[in-house]
Amino acid sequence: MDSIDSNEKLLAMPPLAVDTDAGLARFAGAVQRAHLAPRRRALPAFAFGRSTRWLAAAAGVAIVATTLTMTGVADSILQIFEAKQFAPVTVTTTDLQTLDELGHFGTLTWSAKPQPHPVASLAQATSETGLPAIAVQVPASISATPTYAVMAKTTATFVFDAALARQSAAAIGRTAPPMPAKLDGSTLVFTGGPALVVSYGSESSGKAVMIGVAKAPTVGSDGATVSEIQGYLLSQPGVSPALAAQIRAIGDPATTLPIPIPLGQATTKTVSVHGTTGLFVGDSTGLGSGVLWQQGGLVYAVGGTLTEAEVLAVANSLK
Amino acid sequence: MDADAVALIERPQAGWARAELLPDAVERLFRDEYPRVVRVAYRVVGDQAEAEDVAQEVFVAFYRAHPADAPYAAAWLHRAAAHTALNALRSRSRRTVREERDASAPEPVDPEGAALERERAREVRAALARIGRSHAELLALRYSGLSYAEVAAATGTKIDQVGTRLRRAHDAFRKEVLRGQHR
Repeated sequence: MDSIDSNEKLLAMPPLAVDTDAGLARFAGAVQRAHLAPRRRALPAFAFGRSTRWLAAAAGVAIVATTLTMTGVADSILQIFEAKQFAPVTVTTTDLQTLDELGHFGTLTWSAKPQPHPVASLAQATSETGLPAIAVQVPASISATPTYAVMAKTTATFVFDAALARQSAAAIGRTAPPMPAKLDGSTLVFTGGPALVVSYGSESSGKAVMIGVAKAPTVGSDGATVSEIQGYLLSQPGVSPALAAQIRAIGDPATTLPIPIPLGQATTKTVSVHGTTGLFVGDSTGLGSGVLWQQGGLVYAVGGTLTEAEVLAVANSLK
Repeated sequence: MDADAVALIERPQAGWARAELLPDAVERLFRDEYPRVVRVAYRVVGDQAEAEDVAQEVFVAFYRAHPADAPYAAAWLHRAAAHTALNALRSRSRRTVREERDASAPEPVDPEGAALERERAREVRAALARIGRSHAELLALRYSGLSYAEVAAATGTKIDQVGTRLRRAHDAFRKEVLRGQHR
């Protein structure tokens, strides 16, 4: 071992006898008592993971919470939402399961499913997306060789369906609250992207940073308002009063994108980035963090295995 | 360790769960990495039960947020073990200082050799808690038996830089131990 002196010998204590079976039983017990489900996909998405997967996750968030362009959409569709700022919303495991079930209130049809894919260069990324080229300075500990991924604009249409909502609820032994007549049959149009992600570092090294930029997601509606949709969704059994209160407390729901923060897994606060207000999210282990902000109709995100100071330095170095 | 985490990983009095209820990939990862995660934490906190608590907290955090088959799993767990153990050590150092300051009764007199050894171990851990976090993590990872390649993966360092960084960490550590002894 490396030039051990007597002090370091105290660090290099004799090997421990570790009882893995007992540890595993204790871990399984903790998991069961807390009703934790195994994570199938990395979360927070910015902490690790290939950029294409990160883009897909971002697209999912955009579709759940937002998005629209008017191209090809009937004149009756009016934009009711555009993400201009972000609000953290603490969610529990039960809330997340309920949110997963929100798709049972109607039918979602993709006109173009998100298909993120890697590209060879920044020039190709900007050419495919029409987004501006971005450049940042990354910490010296992270490989300075970037990789690029892009996602084209994606659109999805959602039509509320009261009969389907009743059937879905009955299938899991629940009674759905009545869907307001105005919502039944009404249409939402979500559009996300285009987006591009520049990644430094690698999954295998466990040290990585990603910088993403996307057109701010929007939502269009042919009649239902944000507050009507919100009121119906928040009345669903399984949505905790705490979550409902947090969402209702959002001052401007037509421009504020709620960012789900799993309880106990992350901390959030507002920070100043490029002269505007951003949302900082820190992994509760202190190993990963990210920052999200909107400027000029574009949403920017920087995240990775960085400290708060590092992630803000990368974000503010963005040109 | 926050109150939430403590509640979650509190040792149950009876009826530990059956491990076979966990997904195979999770159990495999746990069996492969738990001993090393405990050892990394042990280098920092110097107490096996506390190191096992840290390991449980690390695995629960990983399970909640990352897939078990993630290629970065081992590196994440090793670094999180060092990081979480240092948090515990620093928290304990502050607590110990406060307790010592508040103690009104003199400590019992121990046999000289054992007392000296305990004092040196305490000084070493106090020094570890005071040096830069990256240095302390590096020492904990290396002294737990991880290879240079594993240390490089856990810290996001190129393998050919690990030796240089370890030497710097050793220097910082020795200086801090000496500084502590002269206080």
